[in-house]
Amino acid sequence: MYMYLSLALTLAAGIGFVYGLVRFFRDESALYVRMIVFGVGCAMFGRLFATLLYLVNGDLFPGFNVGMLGIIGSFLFFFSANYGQMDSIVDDGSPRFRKTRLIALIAPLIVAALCAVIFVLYGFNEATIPFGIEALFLALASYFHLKHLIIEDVSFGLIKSIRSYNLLALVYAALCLSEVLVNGFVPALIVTVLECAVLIAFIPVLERGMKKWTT
Amino acid sequence: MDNLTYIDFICVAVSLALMLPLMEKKLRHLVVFMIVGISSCLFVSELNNIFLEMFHNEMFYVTTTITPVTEEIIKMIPILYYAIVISDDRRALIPNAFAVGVGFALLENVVILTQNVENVTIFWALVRVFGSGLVHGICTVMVGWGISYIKKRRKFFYCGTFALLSAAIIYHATYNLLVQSDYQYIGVLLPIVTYIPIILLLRKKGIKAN
Repeated sequence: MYMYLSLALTLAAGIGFVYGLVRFFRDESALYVRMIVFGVGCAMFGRLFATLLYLVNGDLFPGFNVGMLGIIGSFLFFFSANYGQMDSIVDDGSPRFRKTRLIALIAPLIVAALCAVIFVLYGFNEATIPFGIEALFLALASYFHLKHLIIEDVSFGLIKSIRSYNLLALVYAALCLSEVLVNGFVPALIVTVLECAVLIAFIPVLERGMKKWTT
Repeated sequence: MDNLTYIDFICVAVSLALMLPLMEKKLRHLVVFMIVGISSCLFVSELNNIFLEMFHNEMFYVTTTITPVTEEIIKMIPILYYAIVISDDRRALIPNAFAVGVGFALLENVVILTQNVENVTIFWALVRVFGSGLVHGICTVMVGWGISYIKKRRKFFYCGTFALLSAAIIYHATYNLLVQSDYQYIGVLLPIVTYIPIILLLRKKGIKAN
């Protein structure tokens, strides 16, 4: 059953990735959006590996499996796009945005708190340590997603127009975290359905926001 | 008998190295990178043996979880070095990156051939070349191509490199997983299906300078 959930995630990420390739790789598009497309592609490859591992092995390996790198890679792409490309445009480092920077720390702190709960409940073992590593990258990316969601727009609507994308990315991060926390098939199914919806919506939502950059 | 891997390495790498003084600069770079790829394979084979012992010879686990990680990290180092120290020009980086992958696959195939010389067939050779040969090449090209984009932007560089490495590891592990399963034909098709669009795209548009 879990294999089908993994397959659904692969297909959803695949749809998002192919859509991104078609829309943003025919002409010269911003590196920002290309990195996000690669992030969705990375998620697709990670989920594909997990699906195939279910198919071939019957179950995932306990602890670390290469599929987890898909989630790590995708959040690294999102983080790189936001930190490397967008952040220097929307935040000039002035004290004006100090409050925003502090509030944005809530996102990584929530991730850290969840990690702490997991470690207290289950201890440090081969299952929880890889989750901790995954959460570290998730926390990095979520800081910028929250920051860009709440930051005052001083860049002619640049960041305001892609707030929906940043909100989706935060939701996706929360759903990825909850994968480890949920027990039983029905909660896992709900999380998967939501994740699929987010993965499919990622690129079209970003595209809709980006259209406002040129109008 | 001495270690076969080292014998294979000497036979292949030294022959190529002897050609180097006769070559022009561009071609020499390619062959140097092939030799670097061959040397990486030698190093990784020792490393993988250690991991195989560490994980009690669980071949399936090691080849789907550990070796993709070690191989891709070791193969990435020369590409990273070239991009940082020598040039990040895409027109040089992509062919050189592919040469590292091909060199790696070359020694890997020769070692497997010499270890199973009585069982190999023409079909085996075709599967190795179009399967693992292409996988190694595609993974290094993926990393080299990506690095050429992110190298100049310091904020992108560290995370972007790790993300590219993750993508290459997953691709490699997926291939290793499939070829050891009942779906090995899909595994062999995976690199071919990936390679053809890449080549068509590069032939159509050419490799643009940064």
